[in-house]
Amino acid sequence: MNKRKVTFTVNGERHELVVEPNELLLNVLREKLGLTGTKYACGKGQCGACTVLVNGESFLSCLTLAVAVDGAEIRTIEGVAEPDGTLDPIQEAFLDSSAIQCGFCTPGMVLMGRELLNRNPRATEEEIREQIKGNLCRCTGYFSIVRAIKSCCEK
Amino acid sequence: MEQRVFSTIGKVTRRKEGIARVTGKEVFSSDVTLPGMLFARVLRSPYPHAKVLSVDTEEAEKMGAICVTPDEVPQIRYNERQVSIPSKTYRDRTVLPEVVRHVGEGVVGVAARTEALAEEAVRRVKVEWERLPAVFDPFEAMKEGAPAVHEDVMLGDVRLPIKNNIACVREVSEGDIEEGFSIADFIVEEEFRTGRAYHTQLETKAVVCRPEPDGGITVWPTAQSIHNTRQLLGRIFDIPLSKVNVVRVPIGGAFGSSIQMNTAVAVCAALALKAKRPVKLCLTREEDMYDHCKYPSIIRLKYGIKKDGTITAGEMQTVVDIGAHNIQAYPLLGCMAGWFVSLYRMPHMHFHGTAVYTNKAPACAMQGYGNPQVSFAVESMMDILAEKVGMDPVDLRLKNYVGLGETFWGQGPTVRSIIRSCGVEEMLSKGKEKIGWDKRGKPEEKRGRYRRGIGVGRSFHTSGTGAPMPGEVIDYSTAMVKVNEDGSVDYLTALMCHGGGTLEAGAKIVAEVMGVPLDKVGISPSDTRSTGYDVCTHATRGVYCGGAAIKKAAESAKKILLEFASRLLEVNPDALQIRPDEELGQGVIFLEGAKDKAITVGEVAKTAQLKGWGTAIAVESHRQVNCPPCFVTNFIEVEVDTETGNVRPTRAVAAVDAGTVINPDLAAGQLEGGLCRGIGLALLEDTDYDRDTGELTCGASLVDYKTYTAVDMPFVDDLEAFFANTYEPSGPFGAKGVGEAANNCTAGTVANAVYNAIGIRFKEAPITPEKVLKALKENGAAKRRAERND
Amino acid sequence: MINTRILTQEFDYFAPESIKQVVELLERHGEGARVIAGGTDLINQMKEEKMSPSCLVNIMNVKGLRYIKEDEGLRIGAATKLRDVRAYCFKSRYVALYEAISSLGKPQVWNMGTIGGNLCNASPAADTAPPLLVFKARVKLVGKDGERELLLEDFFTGVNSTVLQPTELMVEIHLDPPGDGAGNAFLKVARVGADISKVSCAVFLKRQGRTCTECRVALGAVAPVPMRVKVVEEMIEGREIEESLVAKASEIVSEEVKPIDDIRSSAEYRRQVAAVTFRDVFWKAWDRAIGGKN
Repeated sequence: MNKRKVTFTVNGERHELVVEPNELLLNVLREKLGLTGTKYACGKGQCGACTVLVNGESFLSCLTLAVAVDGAEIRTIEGVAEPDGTLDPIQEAFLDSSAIQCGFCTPGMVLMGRELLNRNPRATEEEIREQIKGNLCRCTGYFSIVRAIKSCCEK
Repeated sequence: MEQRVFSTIGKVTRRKEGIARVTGKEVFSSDVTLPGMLFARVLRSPYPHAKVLSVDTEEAEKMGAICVTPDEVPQIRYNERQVSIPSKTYRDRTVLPEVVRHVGEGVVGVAARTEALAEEAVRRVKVEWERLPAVFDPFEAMKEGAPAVHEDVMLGDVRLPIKNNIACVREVSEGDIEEGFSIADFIVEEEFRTGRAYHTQLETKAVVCRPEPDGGITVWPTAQSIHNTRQLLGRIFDIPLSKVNVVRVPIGGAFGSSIQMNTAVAVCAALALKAKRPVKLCLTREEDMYDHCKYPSIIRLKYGIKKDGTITAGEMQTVVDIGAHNIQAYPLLGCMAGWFVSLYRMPHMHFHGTAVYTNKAPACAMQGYGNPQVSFAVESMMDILAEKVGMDPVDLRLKNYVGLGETFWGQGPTVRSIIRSCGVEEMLSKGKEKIGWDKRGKPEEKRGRYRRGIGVGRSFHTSGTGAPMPGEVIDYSTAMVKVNEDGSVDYLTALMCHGGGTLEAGAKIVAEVMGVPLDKVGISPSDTRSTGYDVCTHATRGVYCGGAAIKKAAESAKKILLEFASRLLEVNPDALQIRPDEELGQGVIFLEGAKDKAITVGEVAKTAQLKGWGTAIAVESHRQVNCPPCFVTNFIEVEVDTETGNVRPTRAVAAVDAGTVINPDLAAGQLEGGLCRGIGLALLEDTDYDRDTGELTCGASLVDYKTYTAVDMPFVDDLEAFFANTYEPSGPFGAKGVGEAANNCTAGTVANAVYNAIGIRFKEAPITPEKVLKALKENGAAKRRAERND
Repeated sequence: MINTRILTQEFDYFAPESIKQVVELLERHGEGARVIAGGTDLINQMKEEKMSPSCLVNIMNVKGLRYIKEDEGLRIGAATKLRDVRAYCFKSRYVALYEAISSLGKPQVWNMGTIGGNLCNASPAADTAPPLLVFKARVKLVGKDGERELLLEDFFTGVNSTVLQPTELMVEIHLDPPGDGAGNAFLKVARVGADISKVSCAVFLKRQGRTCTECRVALGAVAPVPMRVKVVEEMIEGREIEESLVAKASEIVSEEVKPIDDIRSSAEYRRQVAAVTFRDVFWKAWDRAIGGKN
């Protein structure tokens, strides 16, 4: 395998890493950068727990080669709040709507909510449901999560 | 005196774990990282039944990997689930077995510097297998001459030969069943089946073990009970419990999947002890799907009923396919009997349950512990009986339900208590209104391609497993509460929170008792070394049992605090009260009517420290002597596409009688989640095994094991969750549980709604579109035949 | 047992910037080389150990593979992301493609996956295939000997197999202009949201008053390859449309499909529901052809 040097920013911080071509973004974030908010849950792109934003777009990091995001700007759940700890409105909404139970799907759900609001701040409930249909939650039945994202959408 | 007005309980608050969870800072077992940590993989059986003839780890060890094989681990037989007394505990597991009994059973543990190296090493381990014949169907398994999954197991300290793969049997009778049927006007008998669903908890099972210099071990597992994990590890590896420390770690969903000590824990511990380095073992989703599942049940149900709708007798016979290991089938069968007798009054009853071994992944508790299965059958039957006697299904339920003042079996025949709070009637009548029950129409009146139907279902779950007399099931909790020098309070228990808000509820109970703002109550990190015993966060017992222990400890700590305050205020401590003062961010101790007799909790605690009086701290163990039922009621509307057979839930009303509701939004969240999972059980979820390979036909991945997504659920305004207005006299501040109750009745409710839509009774869950369409075709053909004959 | 947390296979990786370089790399590395675009299918297959390429050629940095333009119909660069195609086709004359992508996977897959990837993976259930088949899509392939263009219906040869040579790259998908009086639609039946189809169907038609002058029907997940149902097209074209005709056509659909039993459904179910889905899609397209509601 030809090891490669990759450069990307994660949550605003620039990283230069040497990676094997077969390393997945998920494991590079978790093991090499210690960003364990990004979760492994199915490994097959079915559950959305490994979601991160790559150049502002939601990606499944369990199906993404680290070498393929060379030059990208990556945002993980750890980078959603302001550096000073001020929470993003979507995070506040998850807290206020009690949209968190076990919390394992939460990182992916918050990022999906963030992506939607960036694209479409007036999203309807139907659009919210479509946005999170690739993110499994076994605890909530999704209702509180939909309510949380809905509460952030402009009427 | 019953306290009914609360400062903190019943208020909607932001849960304490929330910020860590929305910022990605929460550390689950799978996130725990330690210096020098190795990564483990497990070599797993490709066969459903085989003997391990030899293991060759040389090639793996050449790479520098650490390996543990069956001959290197203690061959002690254990049961990973420690809730029954020893004489009722069946033991058929070993850490690494010499005979594998299902595909995916682990045989060799391997640890290396990285996961990739461990993976490479495990692939270099060679195992010589002798394949043995396997059996997959429980009825085949019970036949004479069927392959034996286990030759024998241990029951307590006695060796118990296993005949015809029957793991255990349970029979319960009350009254005279024949007499009961003979006085009935109608006798109805049907058979129901439920699927082998998979928990699909989002975090796969994971554990990190660190060997300690003193020969002990520290463990960070996905677990619902840290103390049971500790006791088992101590026994298996012969380490004093004082040197086994199991740490409570947030769990990424449980639903019963970690109610036992996970198989990964013992393998990882063996590796860590051998490697003398920390080791992490996280199952892949594929491994996790071969690790556990729900108990699939075949239930034959027979009821006698009078013309006026009075049930005279009930008989249930069930066969439960438990897979390769008996994790907790004996208490399960008892509980199934209990769920059956406690739903509807039967003067005469008979229950017979058989648990059968097969060469499949072992079944364990999954939200409801047999209750969704029993309720699916019983609630379907109630509608069948109502139609038989010409009664409204709601009225039939009202006439026969077991309610206030009656006896209830919380955990089978040995755990009985009297019902002291009951919101069944309120939930049925309000729920009817909300869903528009009276306008639901009859199936034969419905026309068109898309037909809607409304179903009702009710059920309950026990709040814990407490009873007046100690029975077969262990149940108690321990809690510690202490007042800090600034007036804040810490509380400590071994209870878990699986997401539903158990620890938040504990904090609210402490805040309420101590009269401090919720913000000033801290949930202490917990491990087995610092906490007293707590059986397990299971059986919907967190708030009712654990909360009661927390309340007791808080009251004891408060007593000490008020005694300190009485010295400063020169007032009798019994006359003092505490109220939270949000402005001061503190509790204020005061004497009613005397303005000058007030002091903050912080000032008292600080003064007590400075004067050397001590800390207001208390530890209490507590066993509840009841396990009151938290009743649930569902009304669900579905829409059946008669051309594709697809069934879509369109509206739902879910109600729970949880006594005083401590976390209203989180309790509603549990109802909503239970509804979603229950609908999954009704319409979607099941697993099957290839009869040749013994492999899961879904490929053991979430590509083809489906759970519902957001787009499959009703819109948020089409769902209403509400609480019955009740107060449980034996509960902390009147509270009962919610947890498992939430999904117990859902599958039956959906089946009833489907019947109301298309007039076809499905007795086998999941009710897939394929089954619906087939039944619709057969029904249509039968109707046409009948018309031709007219 | 496979390990889906990591990729165990070892391979070389290249991220060329031109089509020429891609072809050269494919040539140089021979049979073991694979093109990777979004990777949502390929990485899964590698995790399942169904495929172990010795070399991956990432085409996401290649210039001139990501575009959507109207030029004698619609031309889509093969590495165009599903999200971009979906957005372009929303409320367009190619709405069936919007509907197909919407039901295919989920937002993350729209962001990662490409239209060429969905086709080259050649799943019988590839959701973009039925609409592209009814739009008479042609695909342009580039190899060492230059370019060739063929109809999409000639592209698929079986489950996960196509006419694509190991040294070839799909560069463009070209859809026919729909013309006036045209309507199209797509529908699928699946277990849950964001799932693989049990049955999918797309219809393209043109109408003049009550007469259907042109009709194309394609189905997915009911045969080894996404299939056109030409018998049905022929029985509809030039005819006045009545319920009875569509009902009869749907029966033919049922007979023409060649479904199998698998974990997602049964052959029997797929056969019956293929007919229903065809009928639903046909009427949707029919209504749209006169400017009816989406």
